[in-house]
This record gives sequence, structure tokens and C-alpha cells, in this order.
Amino acid sequence: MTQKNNKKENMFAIFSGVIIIIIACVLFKKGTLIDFLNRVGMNGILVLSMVPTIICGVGLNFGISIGILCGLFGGVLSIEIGLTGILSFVFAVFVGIILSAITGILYGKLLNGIKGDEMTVGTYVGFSMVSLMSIAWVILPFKSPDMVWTIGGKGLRTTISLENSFGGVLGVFGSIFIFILLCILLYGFLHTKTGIAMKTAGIKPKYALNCGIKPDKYRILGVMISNIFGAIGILVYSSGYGFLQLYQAPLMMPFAAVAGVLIGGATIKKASVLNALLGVCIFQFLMTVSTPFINSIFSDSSLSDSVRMVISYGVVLFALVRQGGRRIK
Amino acid sequence: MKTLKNIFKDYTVPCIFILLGIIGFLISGLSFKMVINDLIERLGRNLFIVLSLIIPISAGMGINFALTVGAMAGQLAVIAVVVMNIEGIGGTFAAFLISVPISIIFGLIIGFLMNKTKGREMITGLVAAYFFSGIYQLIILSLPINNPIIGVEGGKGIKSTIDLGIIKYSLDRFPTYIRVLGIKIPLFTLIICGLLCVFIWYIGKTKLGQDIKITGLDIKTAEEKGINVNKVRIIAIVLSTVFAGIGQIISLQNIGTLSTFGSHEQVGMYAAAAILVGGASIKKAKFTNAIVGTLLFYFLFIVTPKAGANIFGDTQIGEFFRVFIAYGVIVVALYINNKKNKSY
Amino acid sequence: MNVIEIKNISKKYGDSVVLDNISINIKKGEIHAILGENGAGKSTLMNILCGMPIIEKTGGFEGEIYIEGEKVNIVTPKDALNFGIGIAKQELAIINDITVWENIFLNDEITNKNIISKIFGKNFEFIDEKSMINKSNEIMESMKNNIKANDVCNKLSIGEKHFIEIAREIKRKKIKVIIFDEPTSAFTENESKVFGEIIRNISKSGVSIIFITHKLDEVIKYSDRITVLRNGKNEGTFDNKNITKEKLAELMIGNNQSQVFNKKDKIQCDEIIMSLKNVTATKGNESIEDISVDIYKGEIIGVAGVSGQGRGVFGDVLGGLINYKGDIYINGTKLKNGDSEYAIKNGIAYVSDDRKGTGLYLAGSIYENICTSAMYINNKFIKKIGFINFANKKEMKKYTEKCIKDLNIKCENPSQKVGELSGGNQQKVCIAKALALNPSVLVVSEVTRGIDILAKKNILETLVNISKEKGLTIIMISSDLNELIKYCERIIILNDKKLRGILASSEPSEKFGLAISEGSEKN
Repeated sequence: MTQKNNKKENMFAIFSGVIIIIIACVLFKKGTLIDFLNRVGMNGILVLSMVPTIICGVGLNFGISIGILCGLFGGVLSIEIGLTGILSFVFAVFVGIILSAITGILYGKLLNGIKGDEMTVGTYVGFSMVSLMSIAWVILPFKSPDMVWTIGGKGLRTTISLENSFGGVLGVFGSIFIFILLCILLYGFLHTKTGIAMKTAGIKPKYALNCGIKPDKYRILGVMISNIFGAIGILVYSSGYGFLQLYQAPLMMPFAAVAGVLIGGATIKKASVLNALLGVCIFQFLMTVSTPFINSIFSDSSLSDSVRMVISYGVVLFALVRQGGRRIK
Repeated sequence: MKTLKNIFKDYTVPCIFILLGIIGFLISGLSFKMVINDLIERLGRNLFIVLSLIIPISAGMGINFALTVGAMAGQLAVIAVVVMNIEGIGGTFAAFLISVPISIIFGLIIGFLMNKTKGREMITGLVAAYFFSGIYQLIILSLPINNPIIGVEGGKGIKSTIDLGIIKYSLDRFPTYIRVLGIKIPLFTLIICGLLCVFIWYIGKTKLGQDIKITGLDIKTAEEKGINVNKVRIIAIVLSTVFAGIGQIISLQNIGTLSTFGSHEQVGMYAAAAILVGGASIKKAKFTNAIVGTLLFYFLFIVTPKAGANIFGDTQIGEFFRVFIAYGVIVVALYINNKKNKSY
Repeated sequence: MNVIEIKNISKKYGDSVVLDNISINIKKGEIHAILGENGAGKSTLMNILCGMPIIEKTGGFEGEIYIEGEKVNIVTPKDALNFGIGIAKQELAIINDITVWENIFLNDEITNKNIISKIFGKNFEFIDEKSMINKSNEIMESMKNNIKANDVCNKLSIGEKHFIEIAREIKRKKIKVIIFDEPTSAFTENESKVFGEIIRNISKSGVSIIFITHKLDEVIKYSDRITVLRNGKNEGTFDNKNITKEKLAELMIGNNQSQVFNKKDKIQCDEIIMSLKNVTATKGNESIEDISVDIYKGEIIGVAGVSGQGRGVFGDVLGGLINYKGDIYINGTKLKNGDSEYAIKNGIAYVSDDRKGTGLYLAGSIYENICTSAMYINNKFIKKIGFINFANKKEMKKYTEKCIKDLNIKCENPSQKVGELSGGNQQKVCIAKALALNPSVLVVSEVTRGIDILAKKNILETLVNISKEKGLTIIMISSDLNELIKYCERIIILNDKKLRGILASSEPSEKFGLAISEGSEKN
């Protein structure tokens, strides 16, 4: 019977691989393979960031906006200092990692205080922080002409071009490389002593306690790692996109990342690196293939964004219902 | 003897907000009379919807973020009324009537979903609200409409803003405004809110109300003792959705314009923040929480933009700050509430 | 005429048989006691009679129930109520945040019609608070109780809450049978007396009473007939006049007194390895108060007592799973409150009674379950690359294979999911997990609950052998007194939260029976 279960896991891995190859071939034929790879590279890390929190027991990290904001701050700082090219990217990531590590620990502590409502609170902390940072973007004393409103000279613009700093500096394969690298690192981490402790804490806190593992500690660790991935992820995304989007843009990004990992087969309680990988591929494949189709139905191109959001919410809702209730008391 | 410290401990959240409100008011430099006028108007506009949160909280389902769906039902009813060109208070009441069956259907769906996710009702409601809102928007944008009042030129979709002049202030004004100490009070609207309070009180005295209370306190025991908890929860959500629909119509007749895409979006958020500010918890809520909360929350709402402008020299910051506080409130309230449930 | 007749009822939870072909009849107006040890099947039988959701959710049952001669189907609590069966369980179905009258009339309220209810139905009738308050006060008075209808239940003692449950049942109009599950376990002596009078009165009015209990004295005092259950089987139904307390004790516990396991060749050690000083802790409805005891190195000491009176908390405290007041020392080191990591690091390994919830990760493999704790705490099974500690799966599997051999765990391979194993083998995995930590003190709670006889013997003998070979101290918490007598040298008796005594296992079984149900002087 157990060989069947091991077989099941191997089957899933093979299945995922096959799907990805099919996707690649279809797109190759259509000539949009590069576009697809680009999207995967850009979005992959944000989807991957959901995995640590699911594994450590916190669930879907709707508060990933915090990490995203840290990354954005790193990017903004790097432009302000006037760095260019790959150096500006590295600096931005560096600052982003430090900030997201600190905020991740604090956020993790907060979540430990509201066990059971992590997703609701996460959503609102995320929204709250986006608004707070919106204030910050306006009042912080940035001076770089690339970022600041030309009229008035104060406050950052909503969209900041990365032409002069790290826009496009990674290229398609650069972002894919970073994504795959982080996948491998996370996978390896999950097989270390600490990673296994985190997994155990997430699966069954009571069991973990009995093993001598303190679940609270590892929840904070999971949230911190997720947050850091969020920071790196947004910088990779922005680099590919060519712009930094401040203010209200990060508001809905968690939902897209959540949907991505759920599409890849993850549930609220269980996720693997493979789920993230498969999920981002499927999600971006759907986007690549359906955008022209949707544009032909709805004349307004901003609708494709709405459709994407609706699909995301639908997927999350479906996952919640399928997961069922949780034993209260 | 209730010392000041005890009062603060029992009513932490409202106290914080009174403080913030006073500080904000002082910084903003607005005239007290103006603020109170604005406040009373907003009270009339928003109280009904905040009240609709009470029943699901009593049923143990937490904050009904899917309120938005009820608001959408209300909006559809208002659009219908505009098309049928029913004026004045007749129009408002017609909208109420039309919204009820729509709200019931929506409420049944949401209630069904929430029964499948017992223990996670709040996040389910949140996501469901976004999901149905998204579908609503897509339908609004692509429906072929020929009616010039509401339709977009070109025949596809509904206008993004619809003027509600025909029913504007119809409820507030009926039969006339009352002026007390120079403050304009929308008497009839407040009477309707009062009616809702009476209705909630009535339900509380019935078998249904008792079932709701028991289900909310201990769903396991309720089920073991034969209460049909699923039915009770669905009724709670349906009632809440119907009231949300009516509440949204009341709100719209005061604002006078319908923003087809956006009017319903923040409804759930602000109502939730208001009732939590008023001292409700996700397990227990009374009318006093709703009334006090609406007053305190909207007081802050009114003064922050100007206060923000005065501190930072920018009105927009006030907007951001207001949103930050609204969301932050929910987090703080959930945290304080949850401190008791720290076990696995 | 038999008011209830149970024919050939059997029930399994997964693979383990909990009820085996039980047939009992209850006469109208009689007080019928059901006697049995923990795990005998009493509560399951009552759950079936009351249509509790847990029965349906775990596969239903076989057999038939007849009420007053007619065959009935009881699937939901409402069914049971409709057929006139009421139950007052040991785990109180009392909601703390509401008043006494609200609990008494839970889902059974007295209501008045009004205009809206005439149109929309019963749900909208007004609840008649006044009548219910009056009736509640009436019932409370008839039970010679001082509880007022308007008191809020969180202020009441557990005994008082039981009275409210009783009140809830006796007020029902259609009631034919009331079942009381361990009713007096939380009563003071006086409350027990009142309870006895109440059930006498009820039975005289034609309502039958079934009460489930441990307490031999009460059984003799109050019941008309007695049915003894052991290991899911009906050992017989007897008239109260025709049976003695001693015979009942024998039937209940079984006849294994003679076989004393060879403990005699154990070296008695005088070194104290662990000591508890004034330990107080609470878990849910159960608590222990002011427990002080010294435990000697290498001994096997048992912990016994009626369920709900402290046993369940004891293990969790030692395992560092819950918070406690007081001090616990092991090998001279003071343990940190509620810190399981520290407890394990200092040599305590805990096998919880909550096998599936706390002890095991059912979806995980056998080797993961056995080795994770040891890997985390003692850094075993680690492959170091640089300064990163990678888990060494190969070593884990190797060690697991050794455990499988040593403990005779029936499975396919170390990678099999633990959830697929039988109860007995799952328990062996738990033990292996604890042993992998190389502890100096092993705490096992209900280690043989729900396991078949052969596996039980196997497990216990293995534990004793390990204790002999390695000098391992074992603290065995169990509801099976017989087992404890057989395998332990000393036995701690916990009763009503306190430590009532420590008896040597060589004492006569009557002394144990009495000690458990009433408490005795400290040895």
C-alpha cells in the first residue's frame, strides 16, 4: 500500500513535468514561449513565497504585501542612491531582504497571537501596511528626479520607470535562473533539521510539542522566509516589467500569488515547491493564451486584469470550500 | 467601583478611538458644528448596514464580510428603480422591496458556502465578496443595455456613474428634516434604523433568536441537543444580506450618485471597522456597539483628511491615513479578541 | 414489559472492536446500572442509544434497538429525544455563558405564539422566560438545590452543573428512559445522596434509569439490576439482591490476579531520579492539585484513578505539554514550565494517551515518526554538509528497521504511512519514538488502550524488559488497574485531583477497588 503512496507522489511529479513540457511545446508553436518564460520568471517567486507559510502552519500568506513593500523600498532606495545596472538590483535585494526579515519576524509574532484567523488578519494587515506606505511614499524625503513628481518636487510618483537602474537587467533567463535557484534552496532547506522541524510544527502543533519542537518559533521562521521571498519576488517582477508600482498596486498581489499556488495543487494545509512551480506555469499559461481571447470579447483591455482577478478569487474560494471547516474547540 | 483603568481595559478599542478622534479633531481645526452635521448625516447613511452585522456575529460566524454581496443586491434594485423611473420615497421603498428577493438568493449562496467552511467564515466571506464583486463587474460591463439612462453609449454595459437624483434624500427628507440646535437630522432614516433595532430585539426574544445565540456560543452542544445549526446559520446570513441590501439603498439615497463599480466595495470593510470600534467582538455584538462605533469611526473619518493635510500639508495623506486606520482597527480588534484563544 | 431492548449490537472504530454482540434489556421503571472499566464499551453503547453524530461519522453500528416492543432507528439526537431517551453525559453539555434556565430548556423552550409566528412558523414564537424560570426553580427545589434559575452557569461547580443536566432530562414530557453517564464522579458525598433520592423518585414515576458507573457502592445502593461490560462483551445481567460487591469487582476487572509477572528479580534502587513538589495543573475540565511524589531510578510505577480525576493531566504535565505550578526535578535539574523541549533534553520521553492527535503524525511514514524527535533534540540521523544539518533518511530507515524488529511492528517497510497500521502497531511506533530519544524516564499514558490482548502483553513485557536491561524508569498511567498491578511495583492513586495514596502492587485487589472509588490514607 505504501508503494502506492510513494508512487502517487512520483506520479504527481511526473504529471507536473509533463504538463510543463506540454505547455512549453504549445507555446513554442505559437511563438509565445519566450513571453511565457518571462511571465513565469517574473511571477514565480511571489507564488513560491506562499509555500513556507503553508508548511509552517500559518496558511496562505495574504500579508505578503509586507514583504512586497520592503522590496519596493529597497528598489526606491537603490534608485535614490543613483546606482545602475546589476549593482542597483543587488543593492535593492539586499535592503529588501534585511527589511523583510525584520518585518517578517514582527508579523510572525502578531500571527502567533491570533491563531486561527491568520488569513483574515493577514489580509487586513496587508491592506493597512499598503496604506501606511502610501503615506510614506508621499512624505519621505526622496529627491531623485527619476522618481519624484516633476510638479511640486515632493513625493514619489505612482509608477517609476526602471530604465536607468535595474529595468530589464536580468532578462528572461536571469529571472528564471533566480526563481529556480530559490526553488532549489527552499527544497533543500525543507530537508534540513530546521526545515523538518518547521514542517512538523505546521502539520500538527501538538505532535510537534510532543517531539520537543516549539511550533511558535517555527511559525515565525516560516513567515520570515515567506516575507523575504516576497521582497525578492517583487524586485524580480519589477525588473521584468520595467517599472516599480507604488501606492495601491500591491493591494491585490497576494490574491494572485495565493491563487497561483492553489492552482498548482497546494491546499491551505499542504504545499510543496512543486505546487508553486506547477501553479505558476499553469496560471501564466492561462494568461498567455487567454489574453487575446478575452480582449476580443471585452473591448476594454483593463478587463483582462479583472478576469484574472476573478479567476484568482474563484480559485481561492474553491480551495477554502474544499478544505472544509475547521474543528472549533 | 469601576476605576478608569477598568473602563479602559473593558472598552479598549472604543477608548483608543475616542482619543484618536479628539486629537484628530483638534489638529484638523474644523468647526464643531460642521463636523457634527456631517457626522449625523453619515450616521443616517451608514448605521443600517452596520446593524446588519449583529446577527451573524451572534450566530458565531464572525464578521460577515460578504455584506458586500447584499450591497450589490441593493444596487441592482436601485438601478431597476431608476429604469422604471419611480420617484421620491416611493422609489426608495420600491428599491427596498425589489432588493429583498435578490438578497435572499445571494444570502442563501453565501450561507451555503459558509456552512461548508465552519470556523473560517470570515476569510470565506472576504474572498466570496471579491469573487462575486468581480463577476458583478464583468456582467455590468458587458450586458447589452439599450436604456439611455443607465446604458453606456454603444449599447454594451452600464454606465459607471448613475445619477440618483430622483430618489436623492427621499428618505432623509421624509416628511421633513428636523433641526435640533441648528443640526440637520434625517429623522425618518433614523426611525428606520430604529425599526431594525426593534426587529433585532424581537428576534432575540424568539426561539430562533435563542437558537442563534446557542449556536454562536457552542456549536457542538447545539448540534448534539438537536438544533439544526446549518439552517440557523443560513437564516442568519440571509437576514444579514437582506439588511445589507436595504442599508446600501439607504446609503445611496443619501449620497445621490451610484458608482456602479465601486459603491459596494468598501462597504463591508467600513461596516466591520465601525462595529469593532464600537466595542463589539467577533463573538458578541449589541446595538450600542453599532451606534457608538458608527459615530466614533465616522468622526475619525471626517477629521483625518484635514488633520492629515495640516500635519503633512497634503490632503491625500489624510485619505491614506483614514484607510490605514480602518484596516488597522480590524487587526487590533481581532488581536485583542483572539488573545483568549491561544491554544491549538 | 421491556422499555428498551438492545439486540446484538456491535460497533467497530476502524479495526478495533468496541462492542461485541451486546444484548441487554431494560425494564420499565427500573434503575439499571451498567458497570465496567474504561474501554469496556459503555460510553459507545450510550452514544448509539442517543443518536450521537460520532456514531454515524465512524461507520454506524450493527444490531437492533426496540423501544416498548417496536423496532426503531436512532440516527440523530432528535430521534433519540423523540423516542423518549434522554442523556446526561459525563462531558457536560452545559454552555457556560448562559443561565441555568437557558441550559435546562436548551432547544426545548416553552414558547408563546404571536402574530408573526402564526404566519412564519414556530421559530418566531416568543420564548416564555417567566414560565421557564419558574419551572426551573421548581425543579431545583425538588432536587433540594440552592441553584437559582437566573444564575449564570460559569459560576457553578461541576457537581451543580450535573444537577442542571439532570434537571434538563427529568423535565421532558415524553421521557421514557434517562441515561446518566458517570453521574456522581463529580459529586460530593451529600450531592451523591441527593442524586440517589432523585433517581428513586423518577423510577417510581415509571421512567427507567440507566446509570453508568465505576462505583461499586453506588451500584449496590441504588440499582435494581446490574449489567457488567468488559472488553466490549456483556458479562451478564444480575439482580442486585443476588450479587455481591466482590463478585462484581471480579467480573469487572477480570481474573488475572494470580499471574504476577516476574518483577521480583528487579534490583530495588534507592536513588531518586525524579521528584514532583506541589504540582498543580489544569487541562479542560480535569485538574491535579498539590501532587508531591518521589520516583526511584529504575522502578516501574503506575498511576491509577477514575477518569476525569487527574490521570489525564499528569502525563501532559510531565511531557511538558501544559503549564503547571510547582516544581518538577529530574536528576537534580528543575524543569521549565510547559517546555517540552527542555523536558526531553533532560531525559523525559512522553508517550501520550492521545495517540493519533499528539503522539503520531498519521500521514507520515514510520521512520519519520520514530526519528524526527530524536533528530531534532539529540542531533541523531544527521548528515552535515558544511555547517548545515541535513536529515539523513538512510540512517533513519536503518534505525527504523531495527525498531521494527525489536518491537515486532507489523508493517510493510519503514516508509509505510503510520495511519495504515493497526492500533497496536501504531502504539509500538509511539514507543519506538520515545525510546529513540534515549530517555532516563519514560512516561506512558494509556499505552494499551484499544489494543488487542496479544499486542498488549507484547508491549508491556517489552517495556518491562527494557527497564530491566537499561535501568529505564517507567511511569505508567493507565485506566486498567489490572495491568498496573501486574507490571508495576508501586501504584499511585489519584482521586479527586489529589494524590490519595501509593500502594504496593502486592496489596489485595479489594484495597485498590476501594482506594479508587473512595480514596484511602497515604502509605
